[in-house]
Amino acid sequence: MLTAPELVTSAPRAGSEPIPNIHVMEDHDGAYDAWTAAGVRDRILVHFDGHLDFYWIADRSPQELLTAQSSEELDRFLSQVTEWNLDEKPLRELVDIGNFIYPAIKEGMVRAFYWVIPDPFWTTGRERRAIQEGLALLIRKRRLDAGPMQISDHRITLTVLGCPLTVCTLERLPHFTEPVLLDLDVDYLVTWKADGPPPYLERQPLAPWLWPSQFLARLKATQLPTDLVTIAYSVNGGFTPLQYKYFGDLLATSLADPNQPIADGPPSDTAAEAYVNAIQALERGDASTARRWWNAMVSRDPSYRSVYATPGWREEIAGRRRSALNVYNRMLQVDPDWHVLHLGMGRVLWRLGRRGQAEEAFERACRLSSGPTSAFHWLGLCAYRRGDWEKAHQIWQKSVEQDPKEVRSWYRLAKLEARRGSPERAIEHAKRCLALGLDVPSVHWLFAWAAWRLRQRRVAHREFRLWGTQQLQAIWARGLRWWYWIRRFGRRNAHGVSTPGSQADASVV
Amino acid sequence: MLTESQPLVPKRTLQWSEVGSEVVILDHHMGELLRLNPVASFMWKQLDGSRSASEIVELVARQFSIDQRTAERDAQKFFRDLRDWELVEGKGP
Repeated sequence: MLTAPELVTSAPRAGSEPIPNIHVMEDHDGAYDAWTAAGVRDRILVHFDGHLDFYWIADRSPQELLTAQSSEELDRFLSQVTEWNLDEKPLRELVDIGNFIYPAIKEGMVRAFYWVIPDPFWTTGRERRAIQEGLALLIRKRRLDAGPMQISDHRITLTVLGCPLTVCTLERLPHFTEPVLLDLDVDYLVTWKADGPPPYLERQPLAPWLWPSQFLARLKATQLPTDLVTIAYSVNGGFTPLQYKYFGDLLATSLADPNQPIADGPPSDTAAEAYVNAIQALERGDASTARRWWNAMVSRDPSYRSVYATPGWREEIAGRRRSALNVYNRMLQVDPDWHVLHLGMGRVLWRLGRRGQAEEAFERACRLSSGPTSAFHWLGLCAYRRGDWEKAHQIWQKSVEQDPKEVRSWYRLAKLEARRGSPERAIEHAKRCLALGLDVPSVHWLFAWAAWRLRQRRVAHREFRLWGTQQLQAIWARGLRWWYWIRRFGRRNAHGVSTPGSQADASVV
Repeated sequence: MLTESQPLVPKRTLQWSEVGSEVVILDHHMGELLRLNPVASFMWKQLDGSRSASEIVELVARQFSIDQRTAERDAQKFFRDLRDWELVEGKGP
């Protein structure tokens, strides 16, 4: 077994020597899977990211509650609401892109955690305060598991789950005498603000604050030893604009072979190059050139033909409906057979009150889609609003047969069954909604009503209680969201806005 | 209404333990933890299928020094709630 000094000399230095073990992934929680598969233990993690990716997971088995020795101890256990996995879900189901470092520390893979923040996060007092507030909130949630925060000129330190956490910029990393786990998120290079909206929501996406070649040069200067690298694109559901996804491939290629020259622009003959050219042509109003580049993009990498490639979605989220309609119309000249565009157009028309045109757009989306699509949900809603409940039921039924996880169709079915006076079926569908994560006041209300009708008093009491608690929270959150969008986009654009992750836009394909 | 012919036992899918003076019940199916007050906890512990309803009422009256009528009323309500909340089942043959 190699002792520490030998490990140092044998581990390659990032940016100077080839690293053989590199994993590239879309979603960053894949890093946890890579570490698990490699069997890592007691390692130092150096995490380059615009986000901490550590948050508490409620993973304690509720059976431990029964081991309390006194009522006071039980009270204390129950006050730690963020800890108990009452649904008893398997751990991996609870792990996501926002918390995957938690199990890595808890399971002993990581014994020291360095969060390397983008330089802009440290340049202004406002950004530094945003980080401190985020960490303070983390500590408040679980005081027993998070140590006190210490702030100095160049770093912030605290402990989480007994593991030391250091927050600093790249230049302030210490010298490491053993190989570290090098974990990179592409959004590290493109995120300017610690608490801002995702970069892809900016109307004019900002240039990266650090280009890959600059990053690799600075990384090389640190002489960081590593034997395992994980790189996340973080486009889908993450914070990396699609046009910079290729940074992940550049970093992987360069770390694997540092002698290869690196250029920061999208490489020729790649989907990234074609995508950038397509969007530029679209903005110029040159539909035929845009179409040519778009088709090249799809043939080079079909995964680029995603909702993250269309600015229409961004305009929708920001509440700029007419602008969104404009974008979808222009993009339809480029890719008329893409169901996502018809679906987006349908949503915007719906919100503009043009229901007939919306229904036509949803019908086109359903026809053009080769797989499950939320267009069925919307089409069902059109029929329902017209009073054609039978048709609505058929469409939503078809929707959930195509995609059992299409939660909004399950919700509509639950509402429809309640309206029809079938509480048993309403309960069945409401349970499905909750199991799929649609844990919102309206579902609990439906559930409570149906349980009451069936004289299931305990269930009804519980659901009414949950409805009440969540309703108060929702009113509070809506107020906060309204305040945020008014500050961000102005009162005119705040009306009827929905934000990423809201139920109205839970599915955009 | 309590009846002699329906001794009740806790549902087999439940786990429970005594914590201090209270019984704590973990219902995995509902994802809930229930805490019983001292009187309910006492009655819960008598549900081993060997005691009739009237015997339980007798024990409650003696344990808490209350009259028979009050004990019966409290016990009726408690067992009705247990049934409604699906925490008990009839003892098998």
